[in-house]
Amino acid sequence: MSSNPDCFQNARQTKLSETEKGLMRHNLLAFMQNHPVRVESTTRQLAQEAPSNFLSSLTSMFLKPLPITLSALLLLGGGTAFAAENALPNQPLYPIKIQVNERVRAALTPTVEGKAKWETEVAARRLDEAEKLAAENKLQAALQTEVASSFDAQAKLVQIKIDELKATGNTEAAAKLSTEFNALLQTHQTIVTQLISDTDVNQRTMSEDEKTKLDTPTNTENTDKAGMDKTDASTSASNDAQADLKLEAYKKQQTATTAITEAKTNMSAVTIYSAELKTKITNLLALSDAELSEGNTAYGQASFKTALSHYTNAQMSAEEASQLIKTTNVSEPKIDASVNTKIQLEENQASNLDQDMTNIKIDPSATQNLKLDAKY
Amino acid sequence: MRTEQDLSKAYENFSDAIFRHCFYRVYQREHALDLTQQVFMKTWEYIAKGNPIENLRAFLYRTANNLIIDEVRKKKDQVSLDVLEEQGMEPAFDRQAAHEDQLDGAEIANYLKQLPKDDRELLVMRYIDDLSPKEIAEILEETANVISVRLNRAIKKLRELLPNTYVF
Repeated sequence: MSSNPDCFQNARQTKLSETEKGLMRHNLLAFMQNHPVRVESTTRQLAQEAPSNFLSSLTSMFLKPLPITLSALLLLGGGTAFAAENALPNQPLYPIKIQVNERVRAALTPTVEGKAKWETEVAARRLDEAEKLAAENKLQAALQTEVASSFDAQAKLVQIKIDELKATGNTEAAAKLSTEFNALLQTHQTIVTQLISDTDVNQRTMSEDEKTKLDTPTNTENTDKAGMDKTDASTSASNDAQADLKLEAYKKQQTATTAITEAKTNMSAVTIYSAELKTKITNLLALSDAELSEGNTAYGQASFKTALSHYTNAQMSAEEASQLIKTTNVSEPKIDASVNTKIQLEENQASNLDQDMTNIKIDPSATQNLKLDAKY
Repeated sequence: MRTEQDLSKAYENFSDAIFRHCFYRVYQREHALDLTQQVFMKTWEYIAKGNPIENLRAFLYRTANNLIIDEVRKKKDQVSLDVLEEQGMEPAFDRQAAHEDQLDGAEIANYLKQLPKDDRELLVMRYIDDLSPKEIAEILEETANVISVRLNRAIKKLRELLPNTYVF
């Protein structure tokens, strides 16, 4: 028997990606630096200091009485990990909350649905933190930018997870989560609007994909924002209305994007034999793309009502395309009804002809006058 | 006395192997990643306490083994095969490198999953981790003879599961 049987050869190629390897190396080096030999005295010392940077706060996670295994620490929460749960951005334990606690929860959740639901909860945590900071008047300038981009990234991740659920055929769970996420945005409307405004104001480099989610505004909007005085009672009502519209448009953009992605996924999963139907579906998808694009332009120009209208059209076209795709019989070529009728007629004629043939009686007297064709 | 350099070197040499071992025990990439990280950090903790380690590679495998066993004991809900399949194991398998006429990683994992976990453990160590029966014996703290006997039994069971076309 060979020591390397063929059946295991491919399994032996499973390995870490470069990124994974690098990240783990980094964590290990940091861990070793913070846990020099003769760890007990260091434990006492480090436990008394507040971690001053990410690395030390990450590794202070592991400062526990010796009998507890790391896995138990992670599963049971440990002192530091537990305390980190209430940390807010810019606080020392916050990196543990997001880099360790949340990642561990994600890793230990077994199902795709569970993971997607967890990411929605993480989005809720981000909003919660933002609200607490806002209440303490700390949500300003650089911190607001950081919080806003963090929430933005999380919102995108939720969308990705919902799309993954759809891709694995779990459309019911995907729809449920989508509704829950929208409800979350609604419940935290004020802070969401504030954070969205911030991502608009900051002209970060975005990928095309990011741009379709949340387009960058023109400079006019920046100036307008700077000019808006929230304490002015006469403008606050219109500001609120504007903020409401903006939130509506944002939510509709998400919904439209989801609908388009779903339609395109459905399209690629089936074969449509009818050229006419295929053209119709393709046109609908092109239309929804165009409407989404128009919506993004309008959003960027702060014309939220127009944007909302375009996004709604985009969603409707995409949903109509999906509907058409679903009703198509794609397991075998669809035979036109008129063809069926034609086939039936021909069959009838054939059987009639047979009948006629058996009924032909040849008049004996007629044969005398038959001229036999030389051919026969 | 082991140093940071020793463990760093061990990391470069064995991180892939330890990850592979963890993966073919738990069949979830993220879980395997966390376990791998824990293996190295726990090993460092042991070293930092002043404990000597004669065979670092064996120690790493033993640590991985113990962590996996501990987790299995603590977890109330076992992840079912269906859930694992639903989650998909695609990202771990390098399809491009797969030989067309041989089982790819996903398929061998499916066969391994059908075996009792003790047999699976041995087969993973022998044929995926490429450890010798002697090394396995050291890791599992058994005699080499016992390991050889158990390994032969596990091989026989796997052979019964595999289609005839595969060399084993």
